[in-house]
Amino acid sequence: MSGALTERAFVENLSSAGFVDVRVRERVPYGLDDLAAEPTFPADLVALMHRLLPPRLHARVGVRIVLEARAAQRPAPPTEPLSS
Amino acid sequence: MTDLLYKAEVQAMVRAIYRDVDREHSRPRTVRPYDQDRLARLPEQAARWAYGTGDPGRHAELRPGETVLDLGCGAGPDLVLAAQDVGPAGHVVGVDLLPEMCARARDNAVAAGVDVTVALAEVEALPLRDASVDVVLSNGVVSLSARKARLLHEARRVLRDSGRVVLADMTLDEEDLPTEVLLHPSAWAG
Repeated sequence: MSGALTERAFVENLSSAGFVDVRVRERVPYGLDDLAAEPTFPADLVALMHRLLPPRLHARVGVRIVLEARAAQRPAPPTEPLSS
Repeated sequence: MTDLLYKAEVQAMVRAIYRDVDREHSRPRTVRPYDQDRLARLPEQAARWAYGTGDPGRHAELRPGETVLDLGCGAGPDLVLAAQDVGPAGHVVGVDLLPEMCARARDNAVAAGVDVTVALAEVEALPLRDASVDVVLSNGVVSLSARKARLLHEARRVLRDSGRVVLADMTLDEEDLPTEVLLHPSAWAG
């Protein structure tokens, strides 16, 4: 989660990498209770987040998303001028 | 966010957490991101590892004969589902950083009776040729990478023109979490 992007940054990164038609197919908000149920989230980390995050973020830290995009056409290779 | 740590430090945290994670004591199946009908297609040993951020394969609308890459395949639940969708005429490749996960993915594919290729590699340096893949899937992996731009450029490199990428991942509403949270090892891998 520490490496998670905002949705906007995620979309911008995809566009920069050469993807087009970026669509968000699914959004599922998650909060601290959801993180507590993850096997990779120990109780001390959830307690730390409860202590340090403003209360408005406890119910919604972010969103789990599914993004779809299409690879843009690669530019055609330059053609050699015909020799006369 | 990622510039608080070196790439090697991030990788070490991710390796440590996922090497030791115990799927026997994880959250109830009812809150998994997979539909029951898709979970039912997995062998029990693979379904136990079906805890991704989402179910990208459900949105990918895979077609028989397609070549699919699963970036950071873990123990392979998405790999198995993709292999079933593309059928014997297709080809599914999984790449993961952890030898333990690669071994689990191979075992789970065998248990499911599907033929896949699993490679031990970094998702930012894919061992695939340019324009060799129709669909790239990834489930909760972009957020684990310290080099996201490189990862996404690699995904684009291996995709054919007009190929699709379907990524499930966590996003944050705020740009930054408190530093103490960002530096907690488990906050990287969760």
